[in-house]
Amino acid sequence: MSVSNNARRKGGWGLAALATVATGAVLVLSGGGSAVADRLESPSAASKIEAVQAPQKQAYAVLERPQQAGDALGTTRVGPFGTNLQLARSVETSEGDVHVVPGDDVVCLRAEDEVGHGYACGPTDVVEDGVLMIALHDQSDDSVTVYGLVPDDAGDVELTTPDGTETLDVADNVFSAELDSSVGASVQTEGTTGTYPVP
Amino acid sequence: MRHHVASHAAGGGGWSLRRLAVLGAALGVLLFSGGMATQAQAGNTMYCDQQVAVGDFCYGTSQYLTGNEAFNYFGNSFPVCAGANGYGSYICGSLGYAKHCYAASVNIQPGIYNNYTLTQHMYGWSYWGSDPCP
Repeated sequence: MSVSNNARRKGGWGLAALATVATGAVLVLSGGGSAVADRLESPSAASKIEAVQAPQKQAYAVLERPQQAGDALGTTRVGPFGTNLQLARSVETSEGDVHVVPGDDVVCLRAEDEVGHGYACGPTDVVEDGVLMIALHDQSDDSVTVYGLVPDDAGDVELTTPDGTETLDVADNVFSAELDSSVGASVQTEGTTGTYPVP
Repeated sequence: MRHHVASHAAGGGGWSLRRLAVLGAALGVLLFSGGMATQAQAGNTMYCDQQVAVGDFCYGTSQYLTGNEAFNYFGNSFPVCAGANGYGSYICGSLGYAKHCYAASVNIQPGIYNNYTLTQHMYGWSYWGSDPCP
């Protein structure tokens, strides 16, 4: 009887142990390593890169060229997704300067507006196959300033709005435009498929 | 006696398993809370977590902030925006990530804007005044 009890007890604790360890594992997965948690932590969790990464240089001539005066941004703090602001490249456009900032398998555009600055970022392997855009919206008149990053092989860049289509100048992998509104505006490139809505 | 030894052995094994169970639970709780603590240690505020953005906008409560960001669609071709309600401007990214930083800590009602559909969830992240927006 006692043996039987002990056997049951042992088996019961074994199951309990397994169940509890499994519960612990579920908690770990849901709390410490789930996709949602990773996404939530990812912009600030990445370590700052120390050099422009090879795929970034291969896709963007602007990130391969030597840095010039005015390229590096004046802070040593890490930006989103491990971006190193000291490795940035400044590009002069008709709508103002914008920075291309490399991160940890991420490429960002950083632009300044009237109240500060902002970023738009994407994974390098996604960005190099398409277009990354950052749009600065001025709510006083609903106008939009948009900057876009395209890879070396992008070819012509066309902007389509309700008013028509125009070819944009591209320099140092970057184009820019001033729009009355982003509604109905999109970009297409010669070297990529798809249409990219202006954000 | 053998029976007693066997019982003792079984009891000892039970205690080991019990310890394993407690260890497993403790490990899970510690790591779970550690994951949550990482978010808290970042000094950020999360809002619009798992909520449907009403009217495409989702606003946090007014507070002193140096910036905010929207990133739950990072890497996807979804325009998302971050900014402030009534602060005059906001910034949008084409690949599911946008961050708007302010030159100073300002008392604003931060907002994130999903330009794509009414039915998707948004995450926001706010930077407190003590945590400058790089």
